[in-house]
Amino acid sequence: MANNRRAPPAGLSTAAGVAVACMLFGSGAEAAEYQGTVDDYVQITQLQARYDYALDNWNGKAWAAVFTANGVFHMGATRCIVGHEQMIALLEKMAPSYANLPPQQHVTVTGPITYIDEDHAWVHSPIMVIGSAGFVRPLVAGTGLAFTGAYDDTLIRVNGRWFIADRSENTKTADFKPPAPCAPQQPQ
Amino acid sequence: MDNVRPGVSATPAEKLRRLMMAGVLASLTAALAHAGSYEGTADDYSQINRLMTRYSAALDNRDAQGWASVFTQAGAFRDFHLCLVGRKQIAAFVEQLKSRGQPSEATARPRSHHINGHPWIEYLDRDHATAHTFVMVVGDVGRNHVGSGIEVTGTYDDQLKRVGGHWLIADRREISPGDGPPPCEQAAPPGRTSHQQPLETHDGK
Repeated sequence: MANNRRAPPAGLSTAAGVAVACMLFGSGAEAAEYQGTVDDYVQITQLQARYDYALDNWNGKAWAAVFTANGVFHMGATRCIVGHEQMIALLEKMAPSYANLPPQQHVTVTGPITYIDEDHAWVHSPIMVIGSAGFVRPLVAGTGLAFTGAYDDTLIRVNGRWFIADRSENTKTADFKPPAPCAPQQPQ
Repeated sequence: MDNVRPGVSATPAEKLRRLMMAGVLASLTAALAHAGSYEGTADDYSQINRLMTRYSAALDNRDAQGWASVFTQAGAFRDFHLCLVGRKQIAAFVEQLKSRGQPSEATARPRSHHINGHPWIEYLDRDHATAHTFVMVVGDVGRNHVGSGIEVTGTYDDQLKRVGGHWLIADRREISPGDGPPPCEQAAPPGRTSHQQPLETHDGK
């Protein structure tokens, strides 16, 4: 059978070579310059909206679910909350101390998203926490802007879905210190 | 299929029929699997976001028909003191606000602005969804007047429905911290309105 084969025309093999090279170089350039899709943007904004709503309603399970299983939440400059179990426990512990305070709501404004590659990104998003100003209890103590700052997130796509792998609160106050690296921890 | 004997090759017509049946079965299977796990598209998200901004702009500018048009025909708006059901009642509410002199005639500017956060959308199926959206109403500030700051904060809990390819609000409940339940727990039947304290505080500022 091999003897029956004829060599392809020189022009055809050259064209094929060019096409393969284009595909290789093209895909390499694409990986390095991945700029996200509309779907990525929608998923990431939804992730932030879910985070805010879950936190405002003290829903630890829903709050943890926006992080990867071993995700990290840098709480201030020194505390590291690692993994879903610790996150759920944190909210359960904190909720009672907020029970008698005016409710607050988190409002995240999705900042510019920088895609490292197709499955990794980071985003710096301004955040406001706003005290209650409802109809029945207007302008009680704690209303108005309670907190402003930003979230610095490292995002990762797992099985087609974006999650927060690492989030640090970044208040940029006068005593701001960058968060310390988190040592690997076992859930308690 | 039962008229096809083993070992006998199918006619072209039979092959085509089998192919079509396989296609139909595949489509049905995909559709059934899809219905239970519909997660929305970027187009859905874009439409729903636009719905939220249309709602706010229409309300701020006292555009009664514009505000009613973001609801389904039988759509409902509820807050702690108000149940509006159907576009007619919804539009009438804004007309009532207009008759009270809003927005400021002097400047023709809205006296307040509704500002939304990102909606968190959960799709029940291809045509139904729920959304939770932070809302803040802030007083208008201009060169010649001061604003009243944050007037109201709360959450919109929405039931959304796709009608004729467009997402609309079937039921919106505005929940502000400290508020009691709305006068109707579920949307009242069309033609019936419940007002406990009509137009008090809300948008009356």
